[in-house]
Amino acid sequence: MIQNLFSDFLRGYEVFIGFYALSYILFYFGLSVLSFIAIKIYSNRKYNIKDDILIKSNHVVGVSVVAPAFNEGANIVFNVQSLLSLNYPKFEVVIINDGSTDDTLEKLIEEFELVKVDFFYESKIHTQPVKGHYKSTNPVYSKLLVVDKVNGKSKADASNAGINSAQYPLFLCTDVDCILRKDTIVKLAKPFMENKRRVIATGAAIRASNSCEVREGFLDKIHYPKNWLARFQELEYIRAFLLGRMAWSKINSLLLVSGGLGLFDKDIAIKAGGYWHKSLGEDMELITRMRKHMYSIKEDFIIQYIPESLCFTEVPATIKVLVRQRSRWGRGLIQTLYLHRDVFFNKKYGRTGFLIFPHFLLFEFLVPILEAIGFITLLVSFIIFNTDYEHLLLLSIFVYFFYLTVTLFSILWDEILYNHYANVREVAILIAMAFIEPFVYHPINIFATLKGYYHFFRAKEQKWGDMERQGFVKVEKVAKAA
Amino acid sequence: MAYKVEIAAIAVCVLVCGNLQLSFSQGLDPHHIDSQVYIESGNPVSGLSYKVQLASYSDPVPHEHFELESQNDGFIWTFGEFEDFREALEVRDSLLADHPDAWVSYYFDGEKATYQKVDSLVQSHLIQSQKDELKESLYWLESAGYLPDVRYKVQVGSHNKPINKEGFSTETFEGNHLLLYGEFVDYHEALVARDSLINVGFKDSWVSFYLSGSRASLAEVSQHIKSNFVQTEVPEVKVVEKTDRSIRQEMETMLYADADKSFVKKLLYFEGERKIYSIALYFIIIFFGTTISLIMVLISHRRSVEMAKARKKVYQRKIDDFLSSLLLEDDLNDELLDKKLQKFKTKIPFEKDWCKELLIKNIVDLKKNFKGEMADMFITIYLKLELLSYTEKLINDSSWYVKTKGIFHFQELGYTKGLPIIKKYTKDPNDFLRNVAIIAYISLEPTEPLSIFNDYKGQIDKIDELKILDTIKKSRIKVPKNIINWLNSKNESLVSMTLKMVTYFNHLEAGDSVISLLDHPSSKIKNEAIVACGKLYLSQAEERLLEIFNKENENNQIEILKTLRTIGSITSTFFLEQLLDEKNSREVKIETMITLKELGSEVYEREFEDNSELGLIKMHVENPFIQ
Repeated sequence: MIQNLFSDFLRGYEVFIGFYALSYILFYFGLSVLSFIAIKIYSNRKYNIKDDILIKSNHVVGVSVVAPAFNEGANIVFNVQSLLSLNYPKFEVVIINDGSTDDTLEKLIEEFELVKVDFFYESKIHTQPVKGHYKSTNPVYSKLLVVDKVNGKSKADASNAGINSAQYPLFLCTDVDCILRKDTIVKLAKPFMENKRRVIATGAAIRASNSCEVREGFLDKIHYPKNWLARFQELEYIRAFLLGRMAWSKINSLLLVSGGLGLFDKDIAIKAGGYWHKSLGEDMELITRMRKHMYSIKEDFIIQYIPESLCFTEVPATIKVLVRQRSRWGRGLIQTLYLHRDVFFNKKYGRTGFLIFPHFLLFEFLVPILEAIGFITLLVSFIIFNTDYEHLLLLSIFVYFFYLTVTLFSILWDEILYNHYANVREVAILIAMAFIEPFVYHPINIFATLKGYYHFFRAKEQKWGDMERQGFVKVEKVAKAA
Repeated sequence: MAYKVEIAAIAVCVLVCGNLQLSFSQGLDPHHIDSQVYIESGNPVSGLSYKVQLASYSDPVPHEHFELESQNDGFIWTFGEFEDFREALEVRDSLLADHPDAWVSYYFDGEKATYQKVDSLVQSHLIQSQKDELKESLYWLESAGYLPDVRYKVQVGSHNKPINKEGFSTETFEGNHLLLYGEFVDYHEALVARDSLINVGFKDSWVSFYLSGSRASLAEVSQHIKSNFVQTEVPEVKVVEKTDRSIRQEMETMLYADADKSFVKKLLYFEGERKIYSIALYFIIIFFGTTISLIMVLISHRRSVEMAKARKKVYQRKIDDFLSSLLLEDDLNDELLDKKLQKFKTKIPFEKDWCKELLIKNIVDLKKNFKGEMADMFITIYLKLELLSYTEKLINDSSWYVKTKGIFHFQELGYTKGLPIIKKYTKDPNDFLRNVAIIAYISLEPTEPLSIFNDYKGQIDKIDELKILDTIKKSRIKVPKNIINWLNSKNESLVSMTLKMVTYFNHLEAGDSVISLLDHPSSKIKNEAIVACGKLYLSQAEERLLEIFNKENENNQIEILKTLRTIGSITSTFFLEQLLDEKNSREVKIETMITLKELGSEVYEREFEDNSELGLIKMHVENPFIQ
């Protein structure tokens, strides 16, 4: 009897995994098709409006670029210069020094000729105390505002202080070390001005800047990363941004606008309560609350994604840092799903409750757990049970080639759209990485995510992770010589 | 071209995959026997004979030893007629010394036959032989009595994984798990059991053979029967003997038990699992083919991009040189221009679309920097190079986005003759195409271009507004006659854009209409009207602005405060001084303080306590570094 029950259980698990995998594959196939349509529509519209019209206009919507900085003394000056050089007629740069223990603030004061000003600050979103605001005495840097605050142990808290200090109706949230393309604001602000429905957030693709040539905070030449981990992450980013998020954008179901680059409606973000300082997935959590707010006021809205690589950021180059980052993301995911569990299948929240949240639970949260169980089951089967090697091999090859097809398609879109890489060799390396990613990089990711889940259940305290920066390929000397 | 290469690459890969599959299946065919090998082995085929052919002639040449045969195209000498191909070969070999061209030819029913015919005959013969063999084997099987080494079992199914079912036995054969029913010494009993099983639902049941306890083929069993005696006495062996009724009852019990099982249980042990694996195999082949194709496409795309870059660089230089030389030419008449253009066309791959696109881009860029005759010269070049037909081809394309590209050419070149083509798209249902057409129409139409907005019902987004305003500015368009009428339009997006036009043209005659829009139900229109009141210095709007202030949202309140800075009087100052004491947002408070400062209010000059809210706001406003 017990043997039969166990046998039934195993069989049940097998059938569940079979159907789960099939639905996963079909779902992602559907996403790929949607993504292709979305990218095609976007590229078809290039003659509809030229960016130079927006750049010259006095009637564009103002944008505040909000960038928190914690112990960024090494690169802060170049980073701020890079942000100040963005091409848009109405914007400001708000840098938040989140209680850095290094010389971040001193360097800013010195380089940009800052003085403390009597800024009338109102804490619309609660944050750790703000110690002061700094503005430049040099009119060249009039667009810069530096907010000095007590460390709040989270990027969310720092971003909230920036939002409170921002003067324009839209705010662009980024990390201070991110290198933005000059037309970033134009590209991201455009959907806010061309949609009939209210746009509450926009985002765009992020790429790895490791190995890119950077000249005084400006991107000089894009290269495929030399570091192995960074290479895998580049591949992952291409796939996630071009095939995943574009498809979600097409059906107006985005739940994640990356913390590295996102433009938000300030009014809605404040009404939704801003970033939650205890969240480890603050970007996803904010979008969830903004969505909930829009449903509560019953106003139709859009969250849109742009198939352009506008932001370049240094991605983790060591396993230790990568595991920490991914474990934080994993923890952030489960935290958000748990915190907003009332959204699941709630009529009030429309597609967020019936499509987006169930997807995140089934195909995002559950995947690492199932993979781990699958791995353990395989090990046990090898030892105890009579493994059906023929079918194991057949299905493994099937999944592997499906993965390769999807990944190579995303690389192809990327190549056709942007032609980012320098030569055939770099493209060939990218392809080679795709072949080994499932065996080398993916297990690290799974481990890190599961670690994040474990920490969530153990309720371990979160903190800002120190990113060990490797630095860009600097060409300052070239610039000076030139 | 690059795309053609890529498509070809995909096609090749798909074909390779298809062929791989084809070869695979051909390699698996165990029954195929080569006809030539078969006849060379001396196997007789009914009706087939062989003769040695020695020579052929156009006229009849008799021979004393050889037979002269008439054929359709002449006469041949033949020797002998054999049923065994090997014999014919031996004779031919003996004749080779005198007749080196001798060879064996085929005959069917006395007529000369081709190898194709022989092949077909041999294959039919083989199939018939196999059938005969099978028949013979079954005959032996059916007529045999008890044989001590031979057993029969009914095979119900073959599975990839171990399976257990009550009443059935299992065994493993060639990696498959077989589900078997009974063990019979008599073939007929096995057949009865098989039919009963088919009746109760096991449709794929069939009788399998066992020789000395091992699984055997029909041929092996029949061979064994042939070479052994028939024993009449049946010894005592333990066999499962069940009647048709007992099997039926057993199966019905099982099926009934199945019906009792939950839906989940049925789902767990669903049929057709094997089919999924077969489908997966097909998909692997498809995915594999796609993977290889994608790699080839990616590499070839990257190479072609690099080549195109280098190519464009070269031709860009040639175009630059040519256009510059035209600009520097002193006496450039029509004839000389024609001559130069014809010569230039031979230096570049003019027939390619990318080259035409590159040329138009260069012409547009240069034209922007010139006016008058020089600018007209670029239109002449554009026409003489017959680039107009390329643009028209784009506009006539079925895809809307290709059309926008063509319309854009006309707009950028200032080609006014293209207006009739463009006009029909200004009412197109596709928003993007219509907007591009409208912008192009406005920039090209010499008289009253904005009249296109009379009775305009389409949506104009903020971004379209910006484009239209930019075009008005660039083309120096004058105030449209109906501008005031547009302010009364029911199309809110048109009203919003008109308010911006009114401020751009500084059209004071529209003042009353603008003020009346302060009562418009749309807050966006009201916002634009408030801005317009300030920009047109409509001081008569002050009273109404103060009246509506408290009913407006924060954005409009801020705009009212900004407007009052330019049109406000003592009434506004009084109003704002009171407003300072009210509870408002940070932004409203700051704007109120700035407005009071601008209006020279005495309250603003008052000393506030440093830590009081008003004191902090005043310090914020007074700080020279805060915008």
